[in-house]
Amino acid sequence: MPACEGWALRIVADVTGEAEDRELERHLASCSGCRAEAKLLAGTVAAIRETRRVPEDLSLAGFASRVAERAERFRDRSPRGLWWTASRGTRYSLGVSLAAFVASVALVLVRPVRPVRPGPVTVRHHSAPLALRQAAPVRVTGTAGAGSSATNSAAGYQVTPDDIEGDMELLASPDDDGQDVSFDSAFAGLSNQDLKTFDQMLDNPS
Amino acid sequence: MPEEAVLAKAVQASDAVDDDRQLVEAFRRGDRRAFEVLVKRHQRPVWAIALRFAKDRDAAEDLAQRAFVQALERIGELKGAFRPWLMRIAVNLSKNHVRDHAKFARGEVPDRPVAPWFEESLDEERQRSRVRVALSDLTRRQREVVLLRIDADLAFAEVAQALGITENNAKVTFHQAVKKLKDRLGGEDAGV
Ligand SMILES: [Zn+2]
Repeated sequence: MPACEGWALRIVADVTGEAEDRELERHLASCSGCRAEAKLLAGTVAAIRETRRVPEDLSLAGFASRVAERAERFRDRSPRGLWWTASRGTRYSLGVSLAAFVASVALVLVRPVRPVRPGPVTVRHHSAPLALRQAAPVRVTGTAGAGSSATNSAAGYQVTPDDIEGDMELLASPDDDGQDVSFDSAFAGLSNQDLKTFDQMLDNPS
Repeated sequence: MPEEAVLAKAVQASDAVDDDRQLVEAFRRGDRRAFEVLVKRHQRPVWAIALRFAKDRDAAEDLAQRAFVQALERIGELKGAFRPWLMRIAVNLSKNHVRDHAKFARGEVPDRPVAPWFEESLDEERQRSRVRVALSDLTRRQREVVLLRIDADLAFAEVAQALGITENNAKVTFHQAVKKLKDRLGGEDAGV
């Protein structure tokens, strides 16, 4: 019934009980083709519903409390749990601060243990984010003498933006949309055969 | 609105994306009861998904709990509506569970039904068995859409949100899936 193709998706919505569709009802009243189609689809949807394994008397009393207990255990032992419950803005700020701290520590650790010959100092800003620039503003080249921390880096080592930004990526990902538990990736490697095997195991246990 | 009132209202609401949003915000502000309310509101569809895939009731409980704990763990990442996002987590965990279990099943077949709490007659079981086999012949995307619409009881707009597709696409995929099942099962056997 090519003339009625436009109704197919509305029939789908209707037979799954999504919404009342008065216009569709009127059409079905006058179109035997769509009426038959709706009846077949409704029967198949009902058959799918029948395969659900939810017992009528399924009691979920106490389930929320058990989840809360498990969540508490998770929060107690996992700093990551607390981390992820923070808002994205908070996480980003904390990440930037922590990365800046790590960079500062790195700068202190690479100070020379023996005095070095004073020499010219070149200080160059790089393109790290603003918060990082404030805490770890320098890229030091050449040798430096004792004195301020900015001029204490050892000859031959440079703190590069990658040193800092590597941590940044780990700690703060403002564009992360949670796709790492991707729906698709969870299905990757799960073949139809796997599902079939499982279903057959359910259905033919002996 | 006072926090108590928000929680009380949210538990009673039947279709309230806004209330979910308020509860998520309350939880983010540190109100742990808010998450418990979210659990109570959405536990049934999460269980429905878990029960379809779990090898027994304990495994279903474990899967359902893990779905909520993972949601709690990742709540900072939530951008859209809570419910489709939660169901996506539940389905992901369930599929992983099946994958792990399928590996086991290839080597060993259990000697008793794996869903013993689900009592049914032989005929009913035979019919369901045929439908389940037919379901497993659907494409992955078709199964996902059917599962989210039927088991998780998500509206097509929510199914679309969970899968990152359009609502129309979700309906088309569902339609194709049901047609395919109908052809596999035959009109009469599909119970029509
Ligand atoms: Zn028609």
